[in-house]
Amino acid sequence: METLLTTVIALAPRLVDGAMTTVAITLLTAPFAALFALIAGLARLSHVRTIAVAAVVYVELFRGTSLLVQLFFMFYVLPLIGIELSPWTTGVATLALNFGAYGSEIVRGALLAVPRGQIEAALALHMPPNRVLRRVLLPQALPAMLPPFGNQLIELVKATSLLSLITISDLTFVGNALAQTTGRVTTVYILLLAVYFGIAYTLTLAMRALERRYGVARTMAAAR
Amino acid sequence: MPAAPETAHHTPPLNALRLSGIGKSFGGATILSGFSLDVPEGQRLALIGGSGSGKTTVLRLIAGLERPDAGDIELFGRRLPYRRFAGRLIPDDPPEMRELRRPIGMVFQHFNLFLHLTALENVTEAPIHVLGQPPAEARREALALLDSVGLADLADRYPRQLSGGQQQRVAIVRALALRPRVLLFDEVTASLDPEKVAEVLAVMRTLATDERVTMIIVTHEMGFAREVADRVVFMQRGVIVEDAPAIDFFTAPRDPRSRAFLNLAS
Repeated sequence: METLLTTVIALAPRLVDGAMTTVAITLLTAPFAALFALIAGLARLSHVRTIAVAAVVYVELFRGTSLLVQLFFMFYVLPLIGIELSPWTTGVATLALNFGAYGSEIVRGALLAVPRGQIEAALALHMPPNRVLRRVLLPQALPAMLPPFGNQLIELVKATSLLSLITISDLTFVGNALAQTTGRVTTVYILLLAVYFGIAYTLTLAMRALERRYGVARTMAAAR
Repeated sequence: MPAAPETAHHTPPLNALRLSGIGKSFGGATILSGFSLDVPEGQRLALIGGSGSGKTTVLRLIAGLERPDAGDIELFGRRLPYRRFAGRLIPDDPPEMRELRRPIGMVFQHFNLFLHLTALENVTEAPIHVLGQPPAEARREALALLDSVGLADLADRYPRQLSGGQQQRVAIVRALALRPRVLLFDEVTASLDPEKVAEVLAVMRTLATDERVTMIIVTHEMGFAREVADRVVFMQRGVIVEDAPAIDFFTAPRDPRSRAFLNLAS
């Protein structure tokens, strides 16, 4: 007699594999997305017009089109013009470019929120521009980026499910397969929701810990 | 006396600063036009005038926070390398520009201490990262400077844990840590509570006794200007109305506009 518990136990190994893949995609993509966000966010504030315009084109292109279509384009069209990438590379690159575009606005906003007087003080101390950026602007802007970046990270976890459509056996891919082969549709999808929630909530807690350590309240020492 | 840089003509006394024919406008509003000013080394110059007179713009141009639209700026006999590009003046050689401006220190109305650094770190930041001073040595000197303004105990506080007067004293020390030869003070007591003004003025009074440092003080504190300055330049709408020894300016201002301003200010 098959009980719910035995079903779950039977499904567990494959679901865990899928969940690990989902977590791996997320953790692999996030640093690249943050890097693209930082580069594009800084580029948008550049005094060099071509650099700023290039950043705007990138951001608007990736924000203004569907992530799923971007994935399909990279997966199906690029090989036609001779660019062969593995599904993993395609998936991670597309996700990182897409989330980097959104993230660049977070970076830009946080940099613009640093009071003008902070930059002027640095310039009056004869700091070269790259030092002003590294020693004054970024240390003050990064704490302000943490909460919105945390939000983006959760979005990223959920967006990884789209990679199931380009043959990557992530949590969604495995779930779909199990639902079809076992016929346990309700159980499988409830489990899927629970696992996604578990991953997302764990990341939320991690980001909160990061904020407590490096967040605005702490680094700016608002109160004694 | 620190060694003066070689100049082409050797015409003593050396000007710490020479502005000639400076023009500056913001979005169509002309702030300065054909503005010229010589400041001999060691002078305590009080730059006074109502709001919109252009006095703060003069300081910001000297400090490099604004670019002139026209004219020349010389520091210790050396012309700052601006060049004309697309109808504007741009720094020809930014590193050279920073190097030439190295003797300038500036203190701001709103202190502008780095909010993410402690008082001590605010002071050591530029000595370590601009001058390349060894950190231990920079910290020792910074602590001595903080001690000289009565703040050694608060070295590890963040700016937001300090009163306005304390922050401004840290800001002055931060400027001093680069051993400036020209100090620019931009209404440094204007955003302080009245009871904190005295502690900042006391520090500046002490500084003014050092004959080697040229001071340009933009201020509304007429009593302080009278006490500390050797020379007063009174500006109105970007133009120098009166340029006189401080004692003459305060006892017998020649221009009726100076008299009107002094009557209002006192």
